[in-house]
Amino acid sequence: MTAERAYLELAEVVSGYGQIMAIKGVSLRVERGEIVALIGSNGAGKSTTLRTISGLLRPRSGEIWFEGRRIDRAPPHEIVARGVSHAPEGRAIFARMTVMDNLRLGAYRRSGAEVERDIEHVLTLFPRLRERGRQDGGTLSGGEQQMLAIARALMARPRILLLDEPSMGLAPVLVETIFRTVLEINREGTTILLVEQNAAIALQVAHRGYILESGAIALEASAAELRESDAVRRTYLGID
Amino acid sequence: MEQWIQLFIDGTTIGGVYAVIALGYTMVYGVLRMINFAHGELFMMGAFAGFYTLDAYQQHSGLNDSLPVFTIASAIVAGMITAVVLAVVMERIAYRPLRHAPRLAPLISAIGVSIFLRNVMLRVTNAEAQVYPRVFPRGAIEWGDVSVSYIRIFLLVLSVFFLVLLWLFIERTKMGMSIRAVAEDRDTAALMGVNVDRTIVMTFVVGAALAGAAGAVYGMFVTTATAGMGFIPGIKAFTAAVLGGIGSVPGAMAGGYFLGITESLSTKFIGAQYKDVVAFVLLVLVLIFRPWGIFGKREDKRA
Amino acid sequence: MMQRFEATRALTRALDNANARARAAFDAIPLIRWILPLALGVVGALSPQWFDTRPTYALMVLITYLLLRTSTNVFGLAVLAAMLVYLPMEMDRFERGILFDIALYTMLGIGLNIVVGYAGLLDLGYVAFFASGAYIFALVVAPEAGGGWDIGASFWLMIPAAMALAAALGVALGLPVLRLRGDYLAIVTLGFGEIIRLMLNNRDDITNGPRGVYLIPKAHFFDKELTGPYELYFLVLAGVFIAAFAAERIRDSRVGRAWEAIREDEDAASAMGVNTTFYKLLAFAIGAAIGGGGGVIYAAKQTAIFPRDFDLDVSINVLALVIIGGMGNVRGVVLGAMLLIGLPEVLRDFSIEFAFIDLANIGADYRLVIFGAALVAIMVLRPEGLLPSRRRAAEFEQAEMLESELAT
Repeated sequence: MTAERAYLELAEVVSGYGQIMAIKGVSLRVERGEIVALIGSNGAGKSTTLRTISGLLRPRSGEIWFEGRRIDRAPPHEIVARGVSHAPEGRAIFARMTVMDNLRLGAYRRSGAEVERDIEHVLTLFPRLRERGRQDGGTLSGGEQQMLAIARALMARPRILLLDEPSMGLAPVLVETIFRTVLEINREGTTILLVEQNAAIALQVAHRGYILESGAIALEASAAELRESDAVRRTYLGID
Repeated sequence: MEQWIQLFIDGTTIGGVYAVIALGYTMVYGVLRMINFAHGELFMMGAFAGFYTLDAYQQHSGLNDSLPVFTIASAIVAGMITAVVLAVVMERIAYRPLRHAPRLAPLISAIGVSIFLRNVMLRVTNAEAQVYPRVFPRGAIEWGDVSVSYIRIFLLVLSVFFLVLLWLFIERTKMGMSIRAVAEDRDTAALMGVNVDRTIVMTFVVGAALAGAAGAVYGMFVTTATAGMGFIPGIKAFTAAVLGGIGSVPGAMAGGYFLGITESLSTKFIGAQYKDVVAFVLLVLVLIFRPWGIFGKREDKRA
Repeated sequence: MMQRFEATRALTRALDNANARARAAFDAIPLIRWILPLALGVVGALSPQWFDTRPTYALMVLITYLLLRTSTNVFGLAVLAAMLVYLPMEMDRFERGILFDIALYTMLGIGLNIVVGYAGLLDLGYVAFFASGAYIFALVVAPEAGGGWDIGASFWLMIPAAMALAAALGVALGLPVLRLRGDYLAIVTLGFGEIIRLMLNNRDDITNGPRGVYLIPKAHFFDKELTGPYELYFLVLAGVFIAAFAAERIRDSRVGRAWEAIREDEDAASAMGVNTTFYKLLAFAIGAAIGGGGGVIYAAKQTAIFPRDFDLDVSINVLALVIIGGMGNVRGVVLGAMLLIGLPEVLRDFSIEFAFIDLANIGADYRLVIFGAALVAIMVLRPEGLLPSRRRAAEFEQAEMLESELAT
């Protein structure tokens, strides 16, 4: 009776705001340990997909499964508790709190000495944040805020990390630094679902990819295949 | 000189009351961007709970005379509990269903709650002022021409105590941190694992506890409780919250004392009947020229 | 511990469900909106010991019903007009007083609706204009206050004069607060309203302070003395129709479209070349003028006015009736005024005497308790108001849409 469920699975998910459905029946699968890229242009429904997985939006229909349990009716704080962590679009740093407080909030559902150990760990991943510990989040540069957003999401000790446009607005050097760290996080055992407009870099780090067009999956393939596909090259990589 | 000290102390006493009530306004505004018009009524209900507690001791025991510390403390606790229970109920019934409604809807709903509570107490008391039993020792500390009654000192110390307690709660506890997080960005706070609904309820609880305590103590100070007593202190506390920059906890505290002292000075130098005018003129001027508050820093403009 | 948690959750879910069901029922059965008031009206008319002022209530209900059914229907309007003239003839003094209040508040509601509903400026100090109209009139004509002009001519001159002065006050108060939006504007206007009341109270060299201005002479209509609520009711009624007509016309004009643009997005309106300063002040001025006109009529009816007549409650009542009726249209204002001003008065006569239950004074004693609870209930069940204009309803949908649906 039970079909084989993927680690994270979306089945025919319809979701959006009010009457406007930004995603119209998205199905996708992420296996344990993978990096999966979700690529699409502005307004294709990428962020809506992530916000629906993390419970900020409740799907109109469809199912979302994580580790064999349905999560599409759970409130966001319970979804975090189950191991799904979401670094949202635009970083959403708490500007009036210090960097350290931002990190502690990331570990909101846990407490004790292990939190301090985890802070130490994310600070080794992002050494730049160590120097900024006492500063208010709002005073950081764009790149530092992105690092903080990812570090903060890691503080929840996620089993799957949802990353929304980590490259947005950053200089190429910084983008590289951040994606190198993303790979490192994945090697440490965290599954990653990555939303990107920058298809080139996303398909470099990802194992597999989905192309999202006007709220529906248009194409699914391995990253290598997508890199070679003519359609993808033309539309998303800007190569003729 | 002594006259100035006297005015300053008088102003600080009432300012402390404003500050404690103002915290409830400012915290609820912080997390919900909503003015809780019924907050002054929580203060009033706290005063009545304090009155009924002390009155019961007076009728049935001699504790008010033999152990005033105990009866006063239990009156304050009764005020806090009453206000907290009411706040939780009003949040659940009157405000939460309107979380996504147009902004005016919760405002009117809050006005409804305020009218409801005021008139329930009008009925219960038959519109008569209830006179507190005298529990506080009369007398005052004299220092030259300066005279400060014991109850004033109690009020002063207690307000500072509550303010420090709240400060520690907001800055040092996990719940306080989640309140700050929800106030800044509700969605992101949820992504951190914060239970937003519970945090909002907690904000109401904390604000109500302070208002209820303030009501009970203020009742002992003015020795009466009336159904309409929440209005003026409520609106003054609200002014204090605005003076400090609404949404800001330290601002509400500073705004309360500032307003109390300003009122006290204006009673002396402009005339007692202009005390309220001064408060409102201050409110209007601050909002027009420094909408982020007298003490606040200018931040991104909030609509 | 865990069990307690589960219990709260179950309760929360049950409450949510109940709320959703009540709301769905209200929306799904449009009949409920007019069958319910109609049924209440019939019950009211048939059971004397329940409603002693039943003509008033029946009138209220019937008008409500007609307005709901026939917005622009000529026949409906004719019946309505006939009833508005005929029914007060059958009423006693007390009932006519209620009717006067309903009409007066309808007029104030139409004025405030221009500011809040059309231009989107939240004003919590509307009483300031009502008070200024009343006091300007009273101070000029009352002999005690040093005025004592010939009332025969001056009453009809005073109405436009007081309206003009109130409009000027509206502009004067509006100018400094133009930059403010939303809640801040609400608070500043609330402050203005209270300052005006306190000044009326304190400057007793001019206003006679809390003792009020009394012995305001009666107004005349040709040779007929306008003695009480009955005669003045027709004056207010005329005021209501003029204000309603003007308001609807302005709303559909270029000015109305400018207000709409400002209400929806002020920055965008400004960028499109709408002179937001001018149009916002215009809204304040027109709203204030209507409020001032209402004040004159109020003073003429009362023949004595006091600062305490003009407290925050007036502003709140007017705002509440505008919002409960459904912002942005006159029908909503009429319905709101009937419910908010009429219902508490009718409830005075409400008593329950059934078998062994005898709550003879439940209406008189608990009317404001019921009123407070009703405000909450209406907002929770219909946050967009009872009779939202079509445009408003669409905006409400939009607002819901943009609001992230935090699943909780």
